[in-house]
Amino acid sequence: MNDSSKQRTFDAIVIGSGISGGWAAKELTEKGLKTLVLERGRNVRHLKDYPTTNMMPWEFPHRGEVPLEITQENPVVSRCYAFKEDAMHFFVKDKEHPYVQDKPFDWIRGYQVGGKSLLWARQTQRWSDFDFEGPARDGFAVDWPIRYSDLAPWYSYVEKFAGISGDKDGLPELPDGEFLPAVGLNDVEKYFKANVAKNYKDRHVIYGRCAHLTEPQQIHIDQGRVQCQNRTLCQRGCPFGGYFSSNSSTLPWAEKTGNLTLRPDSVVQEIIFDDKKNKATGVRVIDAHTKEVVEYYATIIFVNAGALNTNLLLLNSKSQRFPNGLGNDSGVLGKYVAFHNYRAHINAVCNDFKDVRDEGRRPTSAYLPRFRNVHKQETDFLRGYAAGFGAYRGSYHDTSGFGLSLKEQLSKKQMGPWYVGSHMMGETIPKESNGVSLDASQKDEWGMPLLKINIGYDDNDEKMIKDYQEQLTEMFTKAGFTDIKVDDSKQAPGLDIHEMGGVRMGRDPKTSVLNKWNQLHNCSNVFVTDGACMTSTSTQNPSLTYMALTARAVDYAVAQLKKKEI
Amino acid sequence: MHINRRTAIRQLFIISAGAAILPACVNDKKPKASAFSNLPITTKDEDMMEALAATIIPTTDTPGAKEVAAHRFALRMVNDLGKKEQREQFVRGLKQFQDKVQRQYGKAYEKCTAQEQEKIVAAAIAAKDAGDDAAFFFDTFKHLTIQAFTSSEYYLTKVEIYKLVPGKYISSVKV
Repeated sequence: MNDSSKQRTFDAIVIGSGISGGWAAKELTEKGLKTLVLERGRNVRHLKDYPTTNMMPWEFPHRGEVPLEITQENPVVSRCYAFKEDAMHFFVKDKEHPYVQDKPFDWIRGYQVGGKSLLWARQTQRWSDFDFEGPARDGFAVDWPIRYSDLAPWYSYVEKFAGISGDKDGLPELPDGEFLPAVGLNDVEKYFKANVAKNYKDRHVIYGRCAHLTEPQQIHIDQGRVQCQNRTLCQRGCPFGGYFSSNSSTLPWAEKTGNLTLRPDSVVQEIIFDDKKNKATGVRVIDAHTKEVVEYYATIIFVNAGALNTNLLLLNSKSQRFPNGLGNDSGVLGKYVAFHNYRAHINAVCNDFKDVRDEGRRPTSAYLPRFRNVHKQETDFLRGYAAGFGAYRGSYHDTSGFGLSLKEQLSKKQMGPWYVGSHMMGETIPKESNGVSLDASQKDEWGMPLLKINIGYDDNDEKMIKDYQEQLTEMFTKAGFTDIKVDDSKQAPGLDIHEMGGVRMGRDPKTSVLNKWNQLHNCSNVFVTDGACMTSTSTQNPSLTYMALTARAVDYAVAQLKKKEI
Repeated sequence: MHINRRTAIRQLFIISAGAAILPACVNDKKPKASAFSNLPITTKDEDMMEALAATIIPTTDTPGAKEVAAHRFALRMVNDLGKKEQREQFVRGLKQFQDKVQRQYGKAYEKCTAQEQEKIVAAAIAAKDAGDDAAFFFDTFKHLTIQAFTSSEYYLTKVEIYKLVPGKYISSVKV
């Protein structure tokens, strides 16, 4: 080996620096492995590269809104709730990174160091065995090769480090974790919680667990993070490190070990498979700006490019041994992609509690764990939905008239009633027909085939929307809420930003790509621990599960490496 | 930022004061186009809207729409966020509004007395459901003037204080 390739050789390579890549980097470097983290986007350093973080509302020329020219050029990302004047620099613009939509799919991406961990909604609910056992019980996808007991200690492990605010609720369908104190529910949310408990023995309204430091522990202070200040400006990057992101937490931690090399602006085109050695030897990278092509080598490779980009990369990693994409003997790579159904909402008015309001801002709200089909199949659709729930006291200015009277009216807000609202988070069923593939002819600026996305809703999703609307209407009615309005946004899949699967875990190499350790069945030194690995989606916001799977997979990979099994 | 804004407002005063004492012939030249590239309006139109904003939220012993340059915010929003049809209707409505004032009072809005301006605005509010372009212009402009004022540095530091770092969330407060 010459000097140049020695310099380009590491113990481990991590592709992607988002929420799971950051964890892979932390775990690998802490275990003493010289680790190269490749990120296709620009560097975003904690504190230094959050340009809008301390801006006042009046400093935004359009007070947060996005100019028409930008929304017209970028219709997909413009539909994302967080694509606003204060954070639009952290989102991929449609124009810059095209893809092919066989069916409408809003692919929301964040190409920078930290990825979407800067932008996520920070909800962190554990899975339970009611989720892991879903496919086997209900006969779809394939059986998960793990159960809750496999992941529980790793949930605890990542929760302690990330910092999760929550209440111990004692619900088997949503196991408790290692919690920092809750910020709390307001009076109307508490009322709804009690009312639902009174009317339904199997439905629970809880405080939504979230990755915020409500009471930092030594481990968080050691990361340079301090208490969440309830700014709720998270999407700008947090100067307090109040919420968990790769940028504020795992990446600086990895850097402190001295074992991290971070290379931004590095688009990985291919994982190089050596037919003679029968394993992956490294990656081929094209520099995002200079277009220079460089190879890097390592003993272990973690793929954390973000669910669909991980699919793209594996599909594009073709060799004699794997002509259809790395690890794809089964032919299921790119298939059985699923997501969360976020289409339905409900809003209403609560006419009580006029003598109270809440004060300040809060980074989470209430949450209803899945209550449909938990213990047994009981509806005409498979699986079910979780729901967000929140109450807020409306306040407004009387803007009638003009002149001195208007000016006086604008000097103080009127109290309105309490408003309540909820949105559904439905499990979708992974199907062979929902998937991604490489476009046969079109390539991007970096020589990568464009990803063709063919993902749609099905009848099960439609039934679930109807059920959510009916059940929530019933619950709202029983609680005495009025002016109840349900809607179906009809939004395309993808806008939930919970796309999962395509490189699913399973017990059988004939029907899955990864084993129970997130390791390619047929290429033992490559691990996939981002959303691509998911066998099914359940209803929980998935990031916490990716973190736990990643820490667990690194622990296994390094143990295998020491035993010379990899 | 803070100082620049003050300076900018002060300069705005000086410029408008200067304009008042210039000989009339200077104003006879082709009206200067404004800085809003998607809106075919002149600097004179901008002056008119500055005056209109000041009638909607007047300056008293505290700042009003004029001091926070509300009309410039309103124009920026229409210019940068308005769809083509909305921008066109806004400009048509502006002309319609101006023509109506010219017909009724024989002078431009910004030349009217404060009492006349108040009458004009009261009439515009009364005609808000007229459905014509002038009503669209006035409603849009009034709405954006209020937004400009209530999201201005003055308002959010002196009237309803915006906390960048609120610290505690209090789940229940008696009202």
